[in-house]
Amino acid sequence: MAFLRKDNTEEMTKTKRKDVITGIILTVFGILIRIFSINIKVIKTSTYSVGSNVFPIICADLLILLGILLIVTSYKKKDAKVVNQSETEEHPEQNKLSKNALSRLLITTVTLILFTALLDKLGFIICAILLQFVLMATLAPETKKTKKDMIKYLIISVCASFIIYILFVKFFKLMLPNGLLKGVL
Amino acid sequence: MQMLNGFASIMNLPCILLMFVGTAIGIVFGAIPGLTGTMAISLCLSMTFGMTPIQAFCMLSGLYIGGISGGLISAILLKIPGTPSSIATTFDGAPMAEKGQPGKALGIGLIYSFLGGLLSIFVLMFLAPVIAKIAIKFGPQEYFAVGVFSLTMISVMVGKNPIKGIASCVLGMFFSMVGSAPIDNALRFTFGWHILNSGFALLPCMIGLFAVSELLLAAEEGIKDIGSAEVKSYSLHGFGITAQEFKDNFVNFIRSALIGIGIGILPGIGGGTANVVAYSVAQAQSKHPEKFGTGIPDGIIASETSNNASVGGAMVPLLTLGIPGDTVTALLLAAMIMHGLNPGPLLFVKNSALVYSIFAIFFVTHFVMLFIQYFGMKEFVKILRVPRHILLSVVILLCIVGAYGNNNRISDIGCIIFFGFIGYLLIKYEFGLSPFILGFILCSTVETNFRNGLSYSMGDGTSFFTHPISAAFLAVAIFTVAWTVIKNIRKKRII
Repeated sequence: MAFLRKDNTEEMTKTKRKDVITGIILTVFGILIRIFSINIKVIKTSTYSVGSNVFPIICADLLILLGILLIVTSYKKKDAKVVNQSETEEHPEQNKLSKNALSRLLITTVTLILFTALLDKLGFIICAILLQFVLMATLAPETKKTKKDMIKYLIISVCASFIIYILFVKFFKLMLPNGLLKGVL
Repeated sequence: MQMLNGFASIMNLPCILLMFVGTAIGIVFGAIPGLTGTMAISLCLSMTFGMTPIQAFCMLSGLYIGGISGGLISAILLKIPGTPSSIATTFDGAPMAEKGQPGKALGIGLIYSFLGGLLSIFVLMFLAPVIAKIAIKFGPQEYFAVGVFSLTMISVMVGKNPIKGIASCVLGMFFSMVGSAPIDNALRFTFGWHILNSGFALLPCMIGLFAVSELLLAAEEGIKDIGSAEVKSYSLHGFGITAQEFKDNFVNFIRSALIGIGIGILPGIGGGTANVVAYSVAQAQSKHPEKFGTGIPDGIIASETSNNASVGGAMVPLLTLGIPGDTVTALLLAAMIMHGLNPGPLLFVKNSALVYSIFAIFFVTHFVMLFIQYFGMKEFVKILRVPRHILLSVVILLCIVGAYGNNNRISDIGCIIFFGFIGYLLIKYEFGLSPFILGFILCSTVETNFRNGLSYSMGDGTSFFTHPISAAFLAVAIFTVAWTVIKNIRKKRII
């Protein structure tokens, strides 16, 4: 029991730390919005109304206030050991980003960004095949990463990309960049 | 008469076909855990560009209703809710399937999804024109008040921590402010990037928040191999419910439907909340609450009736005020704007034929849903066996095409990645997506009407409190915030 409580307290401090960090981020974000709101040109279209800078300022102030509130309330949670048990038990491993998870997250992000950057040059089909294959191979469970599986993923990627291209370009009359395959398609 | 015209306008082959296609895709997205009806709509929106508004609505309503109904398949056969709308269905549906009656569980879920949805459409048909008549007299003060009311309700009611809920909503408001301001077109937060002058478009923003964030979460958590997981076999004969069971559950059905409709009407929360609330109310009011969770029809009826009933409810504020009742209706709002329609009370005057067609579409789609799911259940169950990493990769590609097709801008793809990250962080840090989206959508309504209201009343801020309807909505909004604060303080004191 004592062991369990220690675990829970540890988890709680983690949630608390997470809340404090998000609180700080919110506050800083609020301050930044406040600063950038100075640059908004105030054009008075009506003598009685307010300018376009008022709502951003309200938002900024609210964010600062909410950030501070989040920090204060998470500090107060220090006494509320028992109540938070159920909350923390639900997501025990939320804050731990394992190496595998981080690499999967990184590969996914980089693939998405590269797709966007290269879409115009390489064209839709090539980019789509690459994107799908990399995503399937990255997201697949460890048991489904054999050579045979990879060939399967490649075939699915090629087929899916062509089907989607034909479906959207021919039937839904959408324009998709042809890139390198210009003239071929 | 108008209703008959509405039905006549959709009784043609393309419309019926689109309803079938939309519903089938919706059910697939609803049934597969991790994919939702919202996602289905966001990626199919681009397919509706070339259609007439009525045809587009045939497809979209199919996706909406199919997406909410499909969740019961995996809730019962896999013990995993396909969508948040079917969480409570697993409580009794899965035990019933384990007891050897999966066919009965599916049948009951199906027929009550149908009945609950149909009842809510009737309410929509009668309630919406009445509300529209009142809403047509709304001025900027009233719209401002309804906007503020919606924003506070969603922020406070979603999630565990109201501070985070409100913060999420304010963040959404901030992102919608990027670009030209309403009324005077002053540029805000564009940092000299011309591409930001028109602001973030709604569709890429939604696709990012819903689909890309799901991909990033899946990448972080990893996808488990469910190939070996057992999908229960079943046989479906009739709807599995006896006349006696139907009679016993009549009160439960009506109550759950009303809960669903009521929760649907409230801004920001929909089927995801309705099914859990209806289930717990059904349990509390039941003569045999101890049997809940062991696989009795009552639980499935409460959950499945209420989630489909929320459809009709959520359409009420969308059509009458232009304020979406949940995330799916937020997308329907985007779709309507894309097709040149401006949802709100004027729609009932300018486009009343279309409004009645929409009612008819939602009505008929429920029959289509029942038909497809009853006769096509075997095929949908097969799709549950397709590995999620393959599905997710294909879905992401479709989403990218959807975002790009909107304006043929590569920057929109960048936009979905950006909002995908924001969505990922919001979910991870338990801020909730729905307040963000409502904040994003309603900010311009609130701001425009606030500024217009001030102009009309010659700068008199008290006018927001002297108009009776506006005052009532603002009072409820203030009361909700105050009540939440007091509740939280009390909770702490008890500790």
